[in-house]
Amino acid sequence: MRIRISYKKGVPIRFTSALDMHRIWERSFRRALIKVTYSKGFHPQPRIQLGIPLPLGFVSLDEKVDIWIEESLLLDGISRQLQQKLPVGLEITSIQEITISEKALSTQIQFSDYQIYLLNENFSPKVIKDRTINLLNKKEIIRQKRNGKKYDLRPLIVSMKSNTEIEGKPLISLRLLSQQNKTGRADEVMFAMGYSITDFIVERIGSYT
Amino acid sequence: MQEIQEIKDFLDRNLITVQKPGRYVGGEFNQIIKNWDSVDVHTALAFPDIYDIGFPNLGIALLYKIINDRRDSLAERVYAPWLDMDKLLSDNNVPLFSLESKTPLRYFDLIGFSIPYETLYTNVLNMLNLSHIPIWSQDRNNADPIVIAGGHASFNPEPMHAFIDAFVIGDGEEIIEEILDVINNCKTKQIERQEVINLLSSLEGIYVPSHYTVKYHQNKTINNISNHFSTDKKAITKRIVKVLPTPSANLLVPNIKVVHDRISIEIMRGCSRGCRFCQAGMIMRPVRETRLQDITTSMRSAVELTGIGEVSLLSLSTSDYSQIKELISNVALLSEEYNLNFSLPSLRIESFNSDVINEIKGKRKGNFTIAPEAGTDKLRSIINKPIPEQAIFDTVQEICNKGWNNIKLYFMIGFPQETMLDIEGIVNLCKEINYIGKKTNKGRFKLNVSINTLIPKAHTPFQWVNFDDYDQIIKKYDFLRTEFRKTGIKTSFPDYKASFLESLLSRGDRQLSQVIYDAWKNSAKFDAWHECFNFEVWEDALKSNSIDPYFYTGRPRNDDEVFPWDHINTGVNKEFLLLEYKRSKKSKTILDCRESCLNCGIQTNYQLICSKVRSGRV
Repeated sequence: MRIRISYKKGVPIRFTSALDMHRIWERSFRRALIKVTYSKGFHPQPRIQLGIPLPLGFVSLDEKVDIWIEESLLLDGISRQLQQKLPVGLEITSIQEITISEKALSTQIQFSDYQIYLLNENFSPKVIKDRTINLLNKKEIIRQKRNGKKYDLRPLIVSMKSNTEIEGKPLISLRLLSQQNKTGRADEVMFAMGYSITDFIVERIGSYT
Repeated sequence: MQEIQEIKDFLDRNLITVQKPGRYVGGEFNQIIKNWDSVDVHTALAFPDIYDIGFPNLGIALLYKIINDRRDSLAERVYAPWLDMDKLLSDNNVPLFSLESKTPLRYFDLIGFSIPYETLYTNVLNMLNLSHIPIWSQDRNNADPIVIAGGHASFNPEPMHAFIDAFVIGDGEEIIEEILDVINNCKTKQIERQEVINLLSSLEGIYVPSHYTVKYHQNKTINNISNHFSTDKKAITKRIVKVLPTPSANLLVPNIKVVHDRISIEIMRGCSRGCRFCQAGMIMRPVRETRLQDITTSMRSAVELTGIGEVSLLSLSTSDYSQIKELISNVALLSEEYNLNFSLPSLRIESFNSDVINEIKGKRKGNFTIAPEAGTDKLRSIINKPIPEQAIFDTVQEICNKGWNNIKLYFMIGFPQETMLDIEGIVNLCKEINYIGKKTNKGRFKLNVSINTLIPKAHTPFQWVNFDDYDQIIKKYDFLRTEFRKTGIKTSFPDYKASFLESLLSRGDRQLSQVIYDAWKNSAKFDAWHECFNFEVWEDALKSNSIDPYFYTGRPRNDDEVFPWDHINTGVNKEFLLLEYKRSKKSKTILDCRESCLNCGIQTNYQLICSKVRSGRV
């Protein structure tokens, strides 16, 4: 049986990398006494497929993971059993069964929505708005990847706007491409606007096909 | 508390700027968070290395559970922040905090450091400093926590005597309860800090260094050590638990990658073999085994409570466990059921036979480690690890036949009476093993050889032995490097200066506290880390204190010398250690003490019978 879990990722587990999330799921299932299917061969691995990786430090309202399990179980039961066995900061929002042959999540997702919370109260909504508009008006935004390769961030931004505030704090809404080789990073957008890494927290709202 | 909220806000914003921020947030599965105000005594369990290294520490895990099981107490954890986090905290004047509640360390009643080895000393100082707690014990006042330390390094507590209020010598499981009782009682009665420490000193196994005076001879060796506080506690007797507790199963599960990321189950404490260089083998006597039934039950519940898919059985000599065959077959069954991997470190050739090999049916055949320690039968007799060469070859042949392709060998150089023939012996032994491996498994076979330098340790028969001379050590390394070239055998050598520092601190005395402080003040920290270790800082610190390190390292000791750790009683008598040292000079070996008692002192000092304690019949 292959299931797709939708879940929230909050604090403090936002500091657990996408790679480490694999192990978190494997262990949570073992704790919940639900048998995960293992690959055959010399180094059997649990069949767990994460959706679009969430960068370190981001929180999310809607992450997805596909997991193959040995037995056919009621979805409600899985949800109940599993939720108690998750580390702090992970919360299951729904579980659905999907066909074994369904394509991997990462190949289906087209774009993701983000909300960016600005942490510094001194930022004026006016400046944020101006910077947003300025950025969108640019023809190209050349950024550098960690490996030194340069790329244009502009075509990866689908839309962006600055809402004045939520609970007194300024907020930016952002839609970025999340395709396999065309994925925009929300923090890069913020850097391009002149903010530094300690100025904001990114929340992914969801990813869509 | 306002300050905690400030720390949380600071972390929310700034943690993203450091490497692996997951080291500083807690939130692991099975973590225990108690309401601060609902308990009377607050303990911070501190490990002086980074989270990744300290997390798997079984001692901390044990104490964490014992303390949090008490209604009047809570325990939270803290590890040494890595350089980037260290800088972030000090640049912003944010105090070091506990992982669970983010409470600054100075608000705890008790800080307990676990110090397994000497090269962590500067990190202890650094963590106190980051916590805004005075580094020198004498500078602390009523508002400061009581700082205690335990772990193997505390068996020679003297180099750290000036920084630690009280040392815990030996097993911590029972004494921690007594310590908490004293502290809770004193808190209710609002007793002054120094008086609390005085009261702690009356507990067996507690060493309060400020109660002791050391008098020296002209030549800087010790004349005598006396207790000026109370005349009835001349020596501090190590604590032992006669029956090992059932291994804890609800271990914390890390959210990020750590070293040894597996379920560790202690199957045996102590070792009856008597290798003359081995400190653990002497200080952890008597041997106590965990009951087979308890191991199996704990292992099963640990898998279900943690979900971790790898189990490791811990002891100093796993194959000496009396029911090793049954144990391995139980583990094998369990690994089928839950898709586990399991590892059996510390197997010994003498007790590791084909029965045991056949039982190991793990899916992955990883490294197989053998520790001959020395290159010739003669030298192995001198160190009392008398494994005949042929037995090593036979074992290698057998494990190669069973399909292991990676063998790792451990050796040491710098043993007393060692000659270049013994060093050649290492090469010959390795070449023969490589030949057997290649013959059996062709190109898949790989041999790794790890060479270390003997660090003579306190409380061992080799405590009288000198750390080998620089020229000798370098000559031996060079010889080995040349000989192993083009053999296809991978080798690793230690950094001479790192070994030298460890040797200095291992048998150090009270004079070294100032040296440790000066080195730390001059930026020494993470001395166990190759990329951080700076020997020059230590050389400067020694020089400015007019201390010749040779006094601690290269100087051979007289038979009757009073050692800085002589007032720490491990239960093994100094006379026995000296006798052992003398036997080593004549290449005389002794048997495993299960076969015949050698009167090391454990039975008489603790009034117990080893064979009964071993199997838990007390």
